[in-house]
Amino acid sequence: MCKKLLALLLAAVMCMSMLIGCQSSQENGNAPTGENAANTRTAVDASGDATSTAPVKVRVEMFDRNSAPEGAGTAIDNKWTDYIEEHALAEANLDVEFVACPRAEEITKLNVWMASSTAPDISYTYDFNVLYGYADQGGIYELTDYINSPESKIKEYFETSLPWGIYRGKQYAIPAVQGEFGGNTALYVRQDWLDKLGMAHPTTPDELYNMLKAFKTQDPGGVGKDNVVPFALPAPGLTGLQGFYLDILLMFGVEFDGPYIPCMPTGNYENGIFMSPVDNPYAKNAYAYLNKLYNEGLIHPEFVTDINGAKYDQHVFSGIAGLVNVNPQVPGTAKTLNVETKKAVADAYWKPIKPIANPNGEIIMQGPRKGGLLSFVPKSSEEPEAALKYLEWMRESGIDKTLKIGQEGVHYNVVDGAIVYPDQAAYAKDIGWVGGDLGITSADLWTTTDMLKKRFPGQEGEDYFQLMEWSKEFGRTYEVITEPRPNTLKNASALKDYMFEGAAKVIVSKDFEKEYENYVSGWKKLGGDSYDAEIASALKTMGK
Amino acid sequence: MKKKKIKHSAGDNIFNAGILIFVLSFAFVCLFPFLNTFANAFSDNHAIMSGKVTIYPVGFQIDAFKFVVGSSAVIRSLFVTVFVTIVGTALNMMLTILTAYPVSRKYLRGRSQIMMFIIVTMLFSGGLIPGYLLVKSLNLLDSVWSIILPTALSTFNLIIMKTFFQSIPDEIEESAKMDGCNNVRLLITMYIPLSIPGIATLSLFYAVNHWNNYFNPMLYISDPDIFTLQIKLRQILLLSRQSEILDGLSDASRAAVMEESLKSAVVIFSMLPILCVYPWLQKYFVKGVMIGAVKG
Repeated sequence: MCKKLLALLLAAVMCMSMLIGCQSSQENGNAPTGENAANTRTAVDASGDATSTAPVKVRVEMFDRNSAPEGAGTAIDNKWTDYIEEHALAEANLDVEFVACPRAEEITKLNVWMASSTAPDISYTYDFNVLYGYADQGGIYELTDYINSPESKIKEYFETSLPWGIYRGKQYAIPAVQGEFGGNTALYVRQDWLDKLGMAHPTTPDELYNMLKAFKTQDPGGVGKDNVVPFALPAPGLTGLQGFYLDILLMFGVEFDGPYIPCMPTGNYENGIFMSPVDNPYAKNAYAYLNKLYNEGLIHPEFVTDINGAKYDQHVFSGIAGLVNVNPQVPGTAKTLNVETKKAVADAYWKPIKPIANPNGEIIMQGPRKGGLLSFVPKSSEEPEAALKYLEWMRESGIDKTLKIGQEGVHYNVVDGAIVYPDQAAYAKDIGWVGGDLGITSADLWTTTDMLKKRFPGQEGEDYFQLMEWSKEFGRTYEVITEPRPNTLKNASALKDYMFEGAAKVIVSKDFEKEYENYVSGWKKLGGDSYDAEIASALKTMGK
Repeated sequence: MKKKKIKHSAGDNIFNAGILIFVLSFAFVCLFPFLNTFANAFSDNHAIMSGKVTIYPVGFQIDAFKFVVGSSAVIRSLFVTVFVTIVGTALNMMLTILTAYPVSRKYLRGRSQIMMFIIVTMLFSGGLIPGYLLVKSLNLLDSVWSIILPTALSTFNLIIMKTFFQSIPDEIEESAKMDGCNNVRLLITMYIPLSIPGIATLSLFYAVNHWNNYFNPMLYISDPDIFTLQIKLRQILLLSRQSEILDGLSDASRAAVMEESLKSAVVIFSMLPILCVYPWLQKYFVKGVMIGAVKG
């Protein structure tokens, strides 16, 4: 009898504990939101009436990349955070506190903060899906009213980037303002090999093929015909890999009409239909080309196993690779193509190729986006106006300029109208390591492409300048879908993984047509065509 | 008296040799990544990236190690981790022993019910967010205690300890009690010395768990001054061009690039303390694998 009673009691306790676990995240999500929203309304009313003399506390997120030089402090406690705190207090009556977030765990930490209502007043991310998720669940403030109010100068300072932060017609984020250039990729070729062969830069896919074939058969580098890797590639698609084949896809006509995919052009929107680079005739031609390259030994046979890019590094830096597709090589930066390859082969030189026109005769490059880091205000913040004031103040006071490029006379000098750094290493050590992340309101807006020639003299500087000029002229960026896509957001990461895994299989297959059919039917099975259809209808609603 | 050696037949010898070769090659396969990392830590960066380094250093240099040892951030995180490991393990063992002992006494009323309640916590838990909210409401966020106090008692280890205590013959307790020994003295002077293998093994489990703990510190600690070694390690290993390019920061101002040899040096550095402690505890670990098994 006693045992039965105890067993019943235990069962009841277990059931209750399970139910508590289910409910708590929802309750905690809703309740504080309700409370804080009410608090904020009263706070807004109050501050509207009287000018508060006490400084308003604003907590700001700060990426911690563990890159602090010795003796400089930490990411949230160093010379420049002190500088900001001091000036913000004096000039804008804001008591700023920085909260660290490890860059590698950004999304996890942000999710936990948001769910427990402890997120900093200014939080940010680069991931649109994360932002839209928070907006849909009512976790962040709609900033439309705040920026439309007469005292706010946000519209003035963030004019070019504000559209980037709109979702479902409302402003949810204040994106960082972007500069003239950036975000590109290009095909880089070993110019010394081309010179030995007496060949010019390719201007069509066939010429590119001939060039790679010549690398393989004639071995201009003298590394051994079996060792040459004409086109060096790591495994497709892992984010931020050192090399990829984005420009090959662009060459065959894939465009940037869809939302962001890492290391890929995002798809084509024609006649009201959207095609991701899978069930897409242009992509198919590009993959057929890559398949041909692979089967003729112009791509390394084991490239699909190189998932951390180590083999790729090996090929490139030991001097046996002839062509790569990479982000632009900023002259003099450590670990760039030229700096490293020269250690193995003294007269190696990597030069960017002008992007090759696609079948429509258009030249497309991946180019600068219109907005950057997305700063938003979680609903747990009690002072959204103060948070926005911080962003305004950063632009207005010129402190964003200091954080992004340093101080004139201290870090750089102006020579013939160009910003030149006499001591790059000292600049990096003093402010370079932290300024980029503290300056959340803008990218580098003050360096123009013209200045690059003076900052990086020599052939490398010329090439870099040329690449940036091409980027200004031919650069396109991906579309930001500002309408909700409920189905696809669930599938998005599975689809993205499939896109790259399937691409690897297609490139190495012996029977291309059959393998590509499998690729497309697998894509459809995962829900790829409803993904595309949702994008098409969202684009239509957006008026494109 | 001459010692008699057992004669093996030729077949036996071949078989033994075959097994030896197999086990040695298997051991080498397991050991290879470690040797490679060790070699990388002392090799020239360019040689590593060109793939020249296998199990011995190419282009010997000790700059990477010098940097790690001289980096106050890494040393500080090492001290934090050592503190957490030592204090945490001490607390864990104290709680485990003090809970396991009463529950192992057959004459304790309600002991099976108590064990049931404890086991339930092993099977069900609130989850990530409720856990975070709990730690936050206890004002433990941003403090080293947030990774020591929650989960200070591991149910699994508790059961092992309890079984160990139960395996000690009751006669010892009876005879001690007859001579007027009370429970506390019994525990301290009799049961603990008899359970040293079990205690050493469980201490090792707890200590390694504390040392390797990454997720809880990442979640609960935001102050860079008290980051643990694992968080620092992960940051260093993942600091790369990747996220910097995405963040639009890949320009000449960011010269902070982590060299391959430095990454390997930090990995070796984080392994060294445990490697030093392990040989002393190894004999207990081997014995302790049988802990919890049925005793005759």
